[in-house]
Amino acid sequence: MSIESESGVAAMPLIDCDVHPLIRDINALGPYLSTRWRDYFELGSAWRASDNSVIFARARDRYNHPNATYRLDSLPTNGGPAGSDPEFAISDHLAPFGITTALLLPQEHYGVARFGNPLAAAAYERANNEYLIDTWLPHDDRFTLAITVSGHDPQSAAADIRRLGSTPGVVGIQLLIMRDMAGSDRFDPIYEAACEMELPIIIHQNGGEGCYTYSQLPAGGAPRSYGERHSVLTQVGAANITDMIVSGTFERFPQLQIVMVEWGFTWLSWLMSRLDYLWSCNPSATPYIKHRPSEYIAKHFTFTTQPLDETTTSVELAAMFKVPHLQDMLLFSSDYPHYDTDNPQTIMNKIPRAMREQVAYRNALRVFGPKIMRSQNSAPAAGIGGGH
Amino acid sequence: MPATTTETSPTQPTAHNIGKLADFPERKVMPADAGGRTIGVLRHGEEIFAFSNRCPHQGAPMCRGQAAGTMLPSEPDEYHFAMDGLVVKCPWHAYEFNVQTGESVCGIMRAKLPVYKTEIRDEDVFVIMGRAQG
Amino acid sequence: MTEIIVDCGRHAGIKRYQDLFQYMPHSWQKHFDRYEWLGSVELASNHIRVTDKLRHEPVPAYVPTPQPGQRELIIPYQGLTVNGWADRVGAKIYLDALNCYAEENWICATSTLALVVSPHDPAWSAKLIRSRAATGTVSAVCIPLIPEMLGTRYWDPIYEACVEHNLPVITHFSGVEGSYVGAPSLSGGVHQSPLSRLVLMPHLAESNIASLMFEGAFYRFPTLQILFAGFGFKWLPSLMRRMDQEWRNFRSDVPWVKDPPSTKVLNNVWLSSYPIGEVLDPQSWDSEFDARLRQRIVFNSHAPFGHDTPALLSEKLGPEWSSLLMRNGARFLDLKNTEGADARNYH
Repeated sequence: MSIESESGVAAMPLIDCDVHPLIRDINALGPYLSTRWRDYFELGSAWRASDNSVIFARARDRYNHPNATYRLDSLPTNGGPAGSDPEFAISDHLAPFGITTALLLPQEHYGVARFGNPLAAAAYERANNEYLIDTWLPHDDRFTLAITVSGHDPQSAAADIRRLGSTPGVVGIQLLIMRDMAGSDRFDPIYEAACEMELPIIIHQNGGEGCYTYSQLPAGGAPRSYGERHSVLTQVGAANITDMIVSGTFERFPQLQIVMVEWGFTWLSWLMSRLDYLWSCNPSATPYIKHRPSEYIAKHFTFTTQPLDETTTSVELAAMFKVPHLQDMLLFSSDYPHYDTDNPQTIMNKIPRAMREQVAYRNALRVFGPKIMRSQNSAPAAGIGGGH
Repeated sequence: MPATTTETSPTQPTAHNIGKLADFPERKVMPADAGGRTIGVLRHGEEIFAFSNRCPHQGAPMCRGQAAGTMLPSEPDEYHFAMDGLVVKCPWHAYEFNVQTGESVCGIMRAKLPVYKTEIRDEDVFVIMGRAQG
Repeated sequence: MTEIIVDCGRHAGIKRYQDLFQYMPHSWQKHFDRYEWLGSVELASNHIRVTDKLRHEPVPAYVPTPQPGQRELIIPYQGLTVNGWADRVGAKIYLDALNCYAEENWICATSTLALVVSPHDPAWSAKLIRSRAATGTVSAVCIPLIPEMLGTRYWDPIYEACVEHNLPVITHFSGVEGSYVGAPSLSGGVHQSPLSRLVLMPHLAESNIASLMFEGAFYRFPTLQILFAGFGFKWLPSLMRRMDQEWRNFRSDVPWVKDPPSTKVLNNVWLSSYPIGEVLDPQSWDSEFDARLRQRIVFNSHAPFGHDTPALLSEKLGPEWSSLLMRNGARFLDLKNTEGADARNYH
């Protein structure tokens, strides 16, 4: 496959900013957990092998997916859940589509968003991060990783960021948020560490949205069905962007970069103009905004393409890319191996030619730095080693 | 897997023998080789249906799809299950297609899944290709 | 062609809650005759501003003045705030009185009423609608928003009464959403900043539109029309595309949704213009709005709280958009006459 650039030249680099690895067998985390935590997570017990594991953020009795959340053809031939085999991910996705870099956003972690025990959350995240560093990063230079932290204990999370953030192959920090909005100063230790390590923060849905009293949710009431909920899930992205700007996060952390994954982007034009207008009507509403709100969005946020809106006319397709500054804000993503994945070729051919190179890799290079192209740099991957 | 046998004629589409009827279990989408092209096959009783391996939506491999039925259009809050075993669901977005016609169920998309005529001759299954009906 | 001015969202409020007493049964007057409730007229008058400023300009009184070529839909906006009340029984007495006051004081030949109903008691509200529909003063039924989303069967008694009398529904934020317990929450988590809350208010319209679509409300009531006023409209195409996509993915999970949800938006949903300040430079966004979608947008001034005027509309969006929104508004206000079209020619 080749993606044509603006000049019509084929085969430019393609950075996929949303690929989800899963852990094949949760017992593999054993060496990365102390005896205390191995006992706590009951590794080895029979029910832990269930697909409907409790280490899952979405309340599946509240919102259950009508089909499978993963592509049926992404199940590895050697067994294990979709996304659990790095070699299969290469043959199934990276190689056929010429993907230069896959940004791994670990999904196993998402369940900690439900944890009430901050120590357990930190232990589980730590184990997942170290396991993936040891297994996926050395497997192929095309894999890069966002280590995952949550807001349960921001100081502990900041320490992990500093400890793991320089690992070759680690290019970002996936932050799991629950009730506290992203602009809360609760996250300041995390943002401080991220800026110090020059790592962007990545915010992806964790699945808990709209499920718990301690999670975020769309406006109004409870959507009834999975599809209805998914229609309005984008709102949580917009809400956190608003909160970060209004709370002055970017005045506290002028270097902070936020990558918004799977929230969509075609609503940005609305949010930018509404924020700008309402702030201009009442600038004293918050003491923290020193520039037009849309300027903060353009400077500090990037957004991934998947799931790309589907249009019925070429006029509408062109219109949807008219978001101000979008050419600098958009990053290609596939969401492999999830069900609502976007075929890279299909999607990249819909991106306006003039912004195709930026979406394919240049914007990612700017946000993540040259380390996102490690397969081109041939940096060796170092492991962490298991056992505590 | 033995190579499929092919019958051709200068003026007719090509009939590809893709195996015995017994090779195809019910309610399970199976891949088959028809003249070097991978297609999807679904058996429903004594009938067999064949279709393109490429979902018209984003090109997902339909031979990895699921055999299913569907819920017919209904009054609010009612479910009426039908077409059991006659629907193939795309392995990605689960778009539903009628294996008999290739049409998407309830017209969720205009493009059809190409389907191919099949014939069963003495338990051998032939897929007629060259002129897809979809 | 005579240019008309149609404002589908002009707010009117009372200065003194005591003025409602004459519309209440005597003992309820005595119940409400308490210092804090009477003083809460200040809160009810200013929630809609969604600000934490300590001092507000007094709200000018609305005086209905028949104006040739002008029509206004009056929203007794203080009634919207019952979505934050704890006393749902008292709220009905309050709304009844407020609607009576409105009919006596704010209606004229060119101003009609958005009758505010109780979101807590659909059966009571249906009776209210039926009793007032014949007066000719009501052009719409106003539903304050609660966490029960508009698509569910909970609202069917109200919708039945509305379609019986060809009355459209209008909804608008009260200002306590995301703030008062019991009112609908806004997206994300808790937003203590009123600026954040005001920015995110349109998500209430989005969520309720999604609910109406995926619950099949417009299959239960094919002629029902709902105006989401005060939420703007620029966000709509993105939502429409996303709902259609989810429908394609999950149609058999909601098989009563027989058509792409966007088609129901085009047939049953209306949006309003306020605030024009977020839709400047139409060339940057209007290609997402095809001719059919443009027919669904009406002008609302949000007066006396907003700065939008017909002149501003024309200046910022151009005379074509301005004229279209006014014609759309006339169609919306004439919905109640759909079985017997108004003889006056507004086109």
